[in-house]
Amino acid sequence: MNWKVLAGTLPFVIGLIVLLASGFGKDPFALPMAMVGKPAPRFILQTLDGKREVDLAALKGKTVVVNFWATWCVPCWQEHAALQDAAKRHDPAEVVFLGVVYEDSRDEAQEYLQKKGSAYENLFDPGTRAAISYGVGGVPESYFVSPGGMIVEKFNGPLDAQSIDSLVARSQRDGGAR
Amino acid sequence: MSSAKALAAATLVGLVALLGAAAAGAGEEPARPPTFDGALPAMTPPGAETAELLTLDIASGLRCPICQGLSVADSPVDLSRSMRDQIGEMVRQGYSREQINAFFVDRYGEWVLLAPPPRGFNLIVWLAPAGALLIGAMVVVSFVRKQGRTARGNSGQVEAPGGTAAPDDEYQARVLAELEREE
Repeated sequence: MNWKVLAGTLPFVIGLIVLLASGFGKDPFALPMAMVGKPAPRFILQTLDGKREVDLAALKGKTVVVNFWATWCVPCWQEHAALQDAAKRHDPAEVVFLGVVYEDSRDEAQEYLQKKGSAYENLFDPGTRAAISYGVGGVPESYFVSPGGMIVEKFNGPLDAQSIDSLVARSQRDGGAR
Repeated sequence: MSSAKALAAATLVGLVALLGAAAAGAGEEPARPPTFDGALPAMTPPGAETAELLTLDIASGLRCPICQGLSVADSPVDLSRSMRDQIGEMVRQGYSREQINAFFVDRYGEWVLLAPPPRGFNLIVWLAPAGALLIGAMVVVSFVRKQGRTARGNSGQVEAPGGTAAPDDEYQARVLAELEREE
């Protein structure tokens, strides 16, 4: 090959390789963490039994773990025990756990929780509005909200005890204003 | 300048222009409308038919977060249906396309737009096809010219300094001379 042609095309080839190499390291199905570092969108949702409402704004000053889940989601079954244990381990005056049912029915969710047990409030999200306002792409997804109301971290996939404790600790350190 | 040199120079100029434009755009943060939260609708709520068409049009420009290459309008999954409902609700309240796009970009990132805005690094996506077309055309022109020169060279005819063609090969000259004698 003519070296001049080679010299002319080499920058493009190198640029293309760099561009592709940067893409190969990424999970094509991973959504961007667009909400991390932003104020947690406020929601007012009913509990599954419909007897009361939970307003996120009323939890100001506490670390909040918002877990989006569904009964049809197998990884959500896997993290269920870890979340229940974590909710029992942490002082509810400091750390509040909230489950938000995603694209599922109240009855199915209630039946599941009656069988598996629940140590915290689970909320019904009609029209998936709260999930969309958080940028949820699939379940399970969990958002760790600081006492100041900022989203400190988003966790995709099933949580384990270690991840919950370390992310709660990080959220407690961040006291950004709500 | 030879065609190879011209090709190399044009390639470099194109690359520099492309990267320069991308770098220039990267620092600019475009003015963005306020999001749904606490923002007032930018326009008068449209009629039912217009609202439906606008909803479909906006949904066509947004990527389904859990599908492969499908828009929110085309995707059959529950999340996309909910997103269409959300868009419809915002349209009926009078929120503009820009406000609705900004709402979803805030939540899902710029990734959610099927057509990335032509600024910053995204410029590469917009300019690369035109650049590739240009380079391809240059390669074809260069190839055709080279083939033409080769064909002329093989015919044994070269332009004499005086402008008349003269045989440059002894063997061909003898053949021509023989042919003339035969005639």
